[in-house]
Amino acid sequence: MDKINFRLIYLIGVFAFSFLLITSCKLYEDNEFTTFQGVLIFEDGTPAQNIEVVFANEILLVEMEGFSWNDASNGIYRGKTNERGVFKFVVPKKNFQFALSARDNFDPLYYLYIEPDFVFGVEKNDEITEEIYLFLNEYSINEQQVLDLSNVFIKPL
Amino acid sequence: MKKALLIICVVLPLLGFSQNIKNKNEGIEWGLSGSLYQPFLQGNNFLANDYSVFPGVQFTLKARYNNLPGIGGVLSGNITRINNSKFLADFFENSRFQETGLFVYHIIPISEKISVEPRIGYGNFVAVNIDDTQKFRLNYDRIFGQVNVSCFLMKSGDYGECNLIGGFAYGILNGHRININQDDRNYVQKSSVLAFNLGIELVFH
Repeated sequence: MDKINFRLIYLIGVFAFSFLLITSCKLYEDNEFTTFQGVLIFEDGTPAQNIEVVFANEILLVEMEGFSWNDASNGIYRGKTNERGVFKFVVPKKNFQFALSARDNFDPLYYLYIEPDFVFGVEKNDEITEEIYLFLNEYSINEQQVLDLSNVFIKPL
Repeated sequence: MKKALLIICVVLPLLGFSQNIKNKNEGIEWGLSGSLYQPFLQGNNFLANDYSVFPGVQFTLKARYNNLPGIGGVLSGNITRINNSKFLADFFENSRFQETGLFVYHIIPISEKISVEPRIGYGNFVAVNIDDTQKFRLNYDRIFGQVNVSCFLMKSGDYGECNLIGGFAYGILNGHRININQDDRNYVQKSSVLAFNLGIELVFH
């Protein structure tokens, strides 16, 4: 082969490689984490230390309705509160956007529960009602993708 | 250690560019290489702690004219495994790292058969986390330096040659596009990577 043909191969190679490079450089901006955090306190105001909090999404709820408590492990975070009663879950945002579309524009359900024997004291209409699940949808998320529940009352069942 | 590697990766190319190399080959010289590629994430950060990286592949295409410094592009991919991660939980079944980059390089002949090729470049590093239906990508900018040693193996036709290449690269990763709470920001956004490669290169004049 003479030099001209090699230049042709070179050009084709550069073109093919550039194409690969450009397509693989495509930026998908799903670099988003959502943070759910709060402080668990008992009714007397003391922090609830070392309590296991479970973060779950709607998939778990559906499975629970289908009488399967233990099967659901997808997308669940478990964490313990620290000495000040603080818990925090950092979650990839995109997953929940998918959950949103799967439910035909219903809001996705994110919620917390505590294992084993505690309930949340949720304030509704100036009354504190006991809830096993604390639904997170009613709270707003700020620009840094943080949902801060601040103080959450809990009490033994 | 990190600073020393970075200095090697930056100073060697500069030394190379300043050298007056004899013009052995006229015209365009281009090279295509494929290598085994193993990155090691460094430090105490999200990428280093939450992923285990398995050996992968790296492809490079480069070109230079009349023994001047050349330019090239690099693609690499590695299968990874998510360790017990407080950020990713067990959402994702598979994950991989993808690296792309453009670099400037120069070839410094050491002997008849051996040459050193320093590179500096800029590119993208993506941690792709894969569920059965969707992908969650984390994008990092990557500034890297690389030093390859090339050993002549055989001639291929009148204008080609086949070389054995091996080397290491050091890159700094910055994930400034990742949006996460203030407390975890530094841990997730910053990392660095030391990588080794060994492969075959085809060079045509």
